Amino acid sequence: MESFRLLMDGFATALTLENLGYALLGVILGTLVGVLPGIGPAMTVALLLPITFNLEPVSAFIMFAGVYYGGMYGGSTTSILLNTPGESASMITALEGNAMARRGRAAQALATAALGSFVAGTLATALLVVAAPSIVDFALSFGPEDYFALSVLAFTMISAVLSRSLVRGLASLGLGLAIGLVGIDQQTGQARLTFGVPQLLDGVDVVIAVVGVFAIGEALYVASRLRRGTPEVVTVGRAWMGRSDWARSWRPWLRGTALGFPIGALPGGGAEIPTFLSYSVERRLAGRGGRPSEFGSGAIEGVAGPEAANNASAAGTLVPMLTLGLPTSATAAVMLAALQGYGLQPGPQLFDHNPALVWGMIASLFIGNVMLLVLNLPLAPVWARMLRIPRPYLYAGIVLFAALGVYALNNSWVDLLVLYVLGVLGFAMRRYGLPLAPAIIGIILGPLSEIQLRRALSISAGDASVLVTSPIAVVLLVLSAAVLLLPVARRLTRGTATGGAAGR
Amino acid sequence: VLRGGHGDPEHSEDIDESDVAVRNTDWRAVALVSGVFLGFAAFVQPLGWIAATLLFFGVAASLGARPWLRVLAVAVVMAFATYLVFVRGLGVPLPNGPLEGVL
Repeated sequence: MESFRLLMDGFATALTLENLGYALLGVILGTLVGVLPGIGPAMTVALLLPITFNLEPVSAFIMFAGVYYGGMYGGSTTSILLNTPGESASMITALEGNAMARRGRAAQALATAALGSFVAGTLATALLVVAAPSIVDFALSFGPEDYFALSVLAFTMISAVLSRSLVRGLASLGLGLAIGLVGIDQQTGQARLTFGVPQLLDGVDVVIAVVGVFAIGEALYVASRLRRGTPEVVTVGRAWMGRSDWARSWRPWLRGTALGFPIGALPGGGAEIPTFLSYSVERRLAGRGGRPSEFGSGAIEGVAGPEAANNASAAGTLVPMLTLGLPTSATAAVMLAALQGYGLQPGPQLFDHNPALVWGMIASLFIGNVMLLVLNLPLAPVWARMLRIPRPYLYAGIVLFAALGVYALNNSWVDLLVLYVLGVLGFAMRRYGLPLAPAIIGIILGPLSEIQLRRALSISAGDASVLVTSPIAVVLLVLSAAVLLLPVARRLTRGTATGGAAGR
Repeated sequence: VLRGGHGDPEHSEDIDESDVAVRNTDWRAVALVSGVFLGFAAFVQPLGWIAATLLFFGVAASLGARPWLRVLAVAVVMAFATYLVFVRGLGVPLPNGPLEGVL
């Protein structure tokens, strides 16, 4: 009941006129960047960082949360109307959603996506309220070595899960960790990887890193392979759905939520796995009912389930972010960096020291969900029109805002050069198939986990065995090793089962 | 990758996978966008936010926007609008350049 009272305090914070305004601004911006290709919530939050440092932290985080949830809603609109996902998390939605749209059922697809996102978002936020305090209680007993082990687990899980191959995930993570090392070492004052450039002594600003890899990298990548001519957008009116659509949607919504929240809350769970799982569950269940399955030609279950799973996992991602200071998605990583920007210590102490911030943000998630439902059902045609912006103007605008946000940080052209170099890196990673999220998480979580590692080692006076004496740390490290070794072991056993004839 | 294979480029939204001609990397457009951006970095201090017009114009034109005059008009409007919103509205410091005092 303690958390219920705190949540009510949170609503009191979030329901002030000013904070409602920021929540509305956040969800509108979030939906916009979710709908528009080439720009996502992580980059938007990063660009908002410099101009929100004058705000109250609560207001800023209410806006960020709105952007995060809004991006999830907006991504599905693009998936359904354009057959190209607005965000990686809505990739699965494009399968059935676009098939529905091409059969003239775009309005129903948009409606079940928006309503499913609302149901899942609300339920999952309620689960967050229930789960977070107990995780905080547990996490308060963590020592620095446990935190280090936890971030090792997050690194390995993220590299293994968010990528098609472990090697590529680890390569991306390594790049991120290296960028995170740039600057003065906080404990010894040594300059690392600065190449004698004085402007690099403070390290690479998170804003520059995220905006460079996402915005400039995307613009360069699009430049390299832009499709000429405008893509075909399915026209749509107001989103609505009939009684039979409701009857077919509500169970997939609930199943999607049940899959999305716990997987999203795991370190490295992400949104891709639960959406895919939800899709395959719905597909299998649809085949069982006797009547012919619509899957492949636009089944509403195939939109309802994955969309719910995707929003539930977004709420799940906030559990480790708020309770442990452990980001498991690029957007969560940027929000963590924002906490540090305000001088707040991420981790379980956050709930004790800044209850107004944490609970105000959680309450605003409920409010933001309602706002998003209202925005998305009647206004679907407005968002659909955004998809008709000519691509050269869209990407020129993205580059312009990226340059503006980064230049405004320090008024320094060196920052613009660093931005460009990171943009080239982001371009190369896209071009050669490296996933971006592990690099972003490495940049932000790397320095934090280094601090924990060195704190643990200085407590033990340099004795490395401290890392494996705590039972929690041992369990977490064993899990990380399992994540790394499992694919190798599976390949080995499969190799012997087929007599090793594959010769790989 | 370790075995010498090459990575599949990431699927993206504005990428046409089917058109064989487009599958080849268009290095010319990449170089153009790069040049425009680095030019912006070099000129933003002396020219002020006017350089944003050139940045927008350059990137949009490199990506194939035509006709030139309309691109230029949109670029001027965008630069002016961002200046008004961010400098006047939100108090973000951006360089004024030679138009100092005019705006």
